[in-house]
Amino acid sequence: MNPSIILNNASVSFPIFNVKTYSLKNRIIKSVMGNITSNNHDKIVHIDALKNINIHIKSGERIGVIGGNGSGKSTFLRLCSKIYEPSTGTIDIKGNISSLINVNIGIDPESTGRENIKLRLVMLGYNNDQINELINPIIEFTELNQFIDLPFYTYSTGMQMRLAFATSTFIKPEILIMDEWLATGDKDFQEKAEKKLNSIIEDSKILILASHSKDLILKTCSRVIWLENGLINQEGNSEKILENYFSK
Amino acid sequence: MFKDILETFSKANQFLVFGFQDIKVRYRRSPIGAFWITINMAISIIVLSFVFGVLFNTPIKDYIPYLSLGLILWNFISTNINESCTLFINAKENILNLKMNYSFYILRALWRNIIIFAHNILIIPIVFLVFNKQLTITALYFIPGFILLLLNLTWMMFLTAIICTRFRDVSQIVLNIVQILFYLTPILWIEKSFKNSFFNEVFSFNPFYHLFSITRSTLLGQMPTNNNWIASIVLLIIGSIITSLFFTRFKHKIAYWL
Repeated sequence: MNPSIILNNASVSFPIFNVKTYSLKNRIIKSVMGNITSNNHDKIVHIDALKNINIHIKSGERIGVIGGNGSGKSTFLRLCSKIYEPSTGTIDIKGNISSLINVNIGIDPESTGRENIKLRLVMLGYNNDQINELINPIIEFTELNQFIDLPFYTYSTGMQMRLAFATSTFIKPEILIMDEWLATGDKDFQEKAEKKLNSIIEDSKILILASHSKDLILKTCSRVIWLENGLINQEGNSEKILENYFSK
Repeated sequence: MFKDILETFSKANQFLVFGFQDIKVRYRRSPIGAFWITINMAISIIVLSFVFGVLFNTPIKDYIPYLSLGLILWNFISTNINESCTLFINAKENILNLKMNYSFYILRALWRNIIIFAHNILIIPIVFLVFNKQLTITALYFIPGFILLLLNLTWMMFLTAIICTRFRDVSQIVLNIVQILFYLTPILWIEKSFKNSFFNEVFSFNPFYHLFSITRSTLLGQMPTNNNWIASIVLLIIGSIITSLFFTRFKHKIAYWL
């Protein structure tokens, strides 16, 4: 079975609860008092983060997602990670997904590096055997050496990133979802991280990458989706769309 | 809902590890660590048994074991329910960034509180020794009783967590109800005080009265009545069905409400 993602008229619209609608008390007062208090401004306001998205992502595709702040990129990634179900329309995802949207989930600053690797792997759903198998290669990859048994909060930002990066990238997903390029650290580590990322991207069947970097998307992605105010503004061949986007 | 819970159980190491981790985080850098839980509970028991033992004029030998078990169990129940109000809200970052089953958060909290309960229950053997009270064979009924309690707590927590995520001020209502139930459940006072009064009718509508009968009373050597068991099972079935309908209807909305 080939992995694929099919969005059919999918929308994501958030109810914005002002203090009034969040509260049960006001609900009851409203239903008791009826028309007296119910004005239009009591209605729940919805914000459409994504509107009627139609797209078919096939196996083997490398998708770049671009757009300004608030254009719906993150929501789109979350939709494809099954975190949001579309409020209207449908989404059909085949294949197992790994989303590297926030690689710090599950990290406890007071625990040591080694404990954190374990915690994070547990969070990602690995069982004990897999964790025991993975932990040494991961420690080796981080190059933290003797620091690995010190608490996470003693690490420099770069070291913290290395640990989070290494722990999150020992995966073999069919569908890989990424928010910005992860590779960070000093020059040596960056090269190594780059290689690692490229290798999981190569192994994955579908990549969805949101980024602001033209070069990165040009290098990695074959197809680009340009989101604007929750709508697909343009979509298609990377070079063409990127040119339109960056020359607007 | 049942599918969600089964899936969480298939990766049981997740909620077990993180429930344990929560305790570790809470009591880190403290030399006696999680045994603060035990100490705090012991102090409440001593103070309360002194005050209420005198007030109710009950023989201390029976009253203290009764009160200790009651308080420890109630602490377990009320913490679970009170915490469930903010479970999804506090896990916002997690829910919005990593797809996991919602029951993970419920079972993690439940497990965390079971660990705390295990610390508190250490007081009981000491109390029993001091007052020369013996466990009888009816104590075996504690096992099915406690399991029934856990199952009932699971749906209660699930339901509270969903509703409180949508309506934030329901948390306050829940805290109130839990507080009121503390007084309406025979924990501080003894059931016998109200014998042959209409209060006995009132108790039978308090689910926690039955849940206490199938747990605490067994350890004190009292056999739960058939009604206690039936009430607990009926509560479980009805509660689970309602929660399950709720969950099926709203599970896709929870992420939107955060």
